[in-house]
Amino acid sequence: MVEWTGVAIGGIAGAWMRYFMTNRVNSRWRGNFPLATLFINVTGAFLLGFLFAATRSHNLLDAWLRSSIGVGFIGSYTTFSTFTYEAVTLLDRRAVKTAIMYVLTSVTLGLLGAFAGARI
Amino acid sequence: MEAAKQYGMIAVGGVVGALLRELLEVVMPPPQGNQFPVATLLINLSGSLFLGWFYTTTIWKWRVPIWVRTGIGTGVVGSYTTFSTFMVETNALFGKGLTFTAVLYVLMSVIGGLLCAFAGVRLVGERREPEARPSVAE
Repeated sequence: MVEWTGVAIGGIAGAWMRYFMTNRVNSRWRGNFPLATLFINVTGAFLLGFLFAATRSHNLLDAWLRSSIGVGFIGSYTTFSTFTYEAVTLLDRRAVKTAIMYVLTSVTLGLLGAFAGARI
Repeated sequence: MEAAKQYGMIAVGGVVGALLRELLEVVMPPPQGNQFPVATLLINLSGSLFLGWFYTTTIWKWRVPIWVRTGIGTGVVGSYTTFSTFMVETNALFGKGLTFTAVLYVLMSVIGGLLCAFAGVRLVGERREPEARPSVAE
């Protein structure tokens, strides 16, 4: 029960953080490249990689806190559905190069982020 | 006041999305052998399909208040799907030497996710401007 409550609270914080960051980035960035979601997904992948690796070996956090932050907060902060929706919207607007760039940078930088997070 | 309403709806949606995701992850753990992350794949594909349909239909077919769009789109579906878990799982599969599963997982997620989002958009059918378009800020 504690674990589910933690995931719920983390979920609120993560969704808020994503909304806040999206508004912040979009108030400065006017291009059609979805920079906000890319930033959110790459930083989230890095943080989750770090959290899981750091707490696995050192037993730093209780299991419930680990899932509150990992599953709740970071899981909700990052998003896959907005990523695919934005890519399809770019394709729909014939911005094919931008769409391909977006998909490739998201996956490549996301993987590098998760890898780097787990290594430090 | 408008901002408070948005944050309130996103909070409600965020709880629903995060709990639904965790529920599916618990019910469908990766199989012992190939450790393919079935739950996350299913979550991300179904979320992509739904969001493609929802964001498109609320522009062209249904007139909904903006907080319904953010509450469900940003709140529920945004929190339900996850990019970070997808990346960390892929990295873990590579780390365990399960290269084939890792590559398959990435390809199925990305290509499948794009196809699902596209299918969701197409589900809406003919796009006609309703009399008054809602504001379409994401």
